[in-house]
Amino acid sequence: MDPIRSDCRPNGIHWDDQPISAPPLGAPVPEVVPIGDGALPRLASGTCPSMKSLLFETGKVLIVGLVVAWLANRMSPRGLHLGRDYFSDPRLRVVSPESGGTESPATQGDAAEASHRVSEITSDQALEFFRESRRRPGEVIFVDARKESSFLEGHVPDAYPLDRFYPDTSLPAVVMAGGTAEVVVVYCAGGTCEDSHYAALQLLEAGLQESRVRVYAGGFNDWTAQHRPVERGVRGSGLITDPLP
Amino acid sequence: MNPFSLGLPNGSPRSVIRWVVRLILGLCFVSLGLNKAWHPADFLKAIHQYGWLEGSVSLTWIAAWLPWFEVFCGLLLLVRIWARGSALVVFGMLLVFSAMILHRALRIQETSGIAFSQIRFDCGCGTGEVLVWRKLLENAVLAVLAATVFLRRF
Repeated sequence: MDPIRSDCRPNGIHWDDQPISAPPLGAPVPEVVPIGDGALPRLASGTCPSMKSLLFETGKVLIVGLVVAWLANRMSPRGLHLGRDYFSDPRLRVVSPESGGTESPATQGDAAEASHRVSEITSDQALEFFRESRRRPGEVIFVDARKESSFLEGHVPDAYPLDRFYPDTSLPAVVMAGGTAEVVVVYCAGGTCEDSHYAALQLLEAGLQESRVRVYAGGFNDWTAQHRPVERGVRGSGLITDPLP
Repeated sequence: MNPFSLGLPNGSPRSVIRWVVRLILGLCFVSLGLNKAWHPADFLKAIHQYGWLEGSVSLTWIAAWLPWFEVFCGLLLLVRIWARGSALVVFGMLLVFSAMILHRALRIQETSGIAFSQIRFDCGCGTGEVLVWRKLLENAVLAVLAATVFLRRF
């Protein structure tokens, strides 16, 4: 142990529960210069070793901490893909019903690189598609792009879950169902939520046709505000509240 | 230091105070860090709302690493290994977080005209939607506690 590490205090008081060890026999005893009333003395010949040890310790925390954090994210089943920017994808263009069919970029990406286009639908159109899905199961499907816990709390009846951050588990089932469906309606919470657009992009990149994929921009908030049917629990649980009149 | 003591107090009032301070700081950072680490996508969305580091993967790195880094620092404080270094890092993080929260709150106040005391949003702190002034006060208290650890004022 550094004999003068205990806060450079000359009077033997130390803060760290550790006795100040005596310097080895024959070693020079460092001169201590008090500052002011002696509360913060430091070595005459340089920086207080306590400050040095603090900075050294901070460096160790930063380096080891970042390595630990990198490993933990890598090992976590919910870890993020470090090479991916989840909020900027220039491949998607959105066609909004309010804009009269004109396109607007979903993100800040370069418009020239856009390779996919997705159409938004209104609340009434979403309801029509839902009625259609009741009449012709499998022909019209709904995809819930919110996180799993929100999905379990309530979703559009028979909607498929698709968390865009963790698509590996749910994307294959949605692509399989969407491959035979005429219309695939994707929604998230609504408002400023962008997850439905990115989930739609994942479906398009998995091979679904642009003309079949629609985004319900009002989302689940609009759906519940209109007192429409909600299914709780897993898909197909049958726990449906607020059935359509 | 006895490697098996894990920073438990030795009975003196000072050691008890230090232990309590490290316990509060450590538990705060471990619990909030774990909450974020278990929902990194929510954390990513929350920090995306600040509008910083757009159009790069830096935001993803922060969302992926910061929660685990907070857990790591919290654990170091709890077991008193590199505790002063951890406290200094925690202090720095709290300053940066608070500055970001304050900046965003002032921007909201400017655009919406809502009274500062009423502004609330999900700051990405692992506690969901919070009143901003309360969060800033909480951060200030934690920063003072962290400062007492790395400055060894108790």
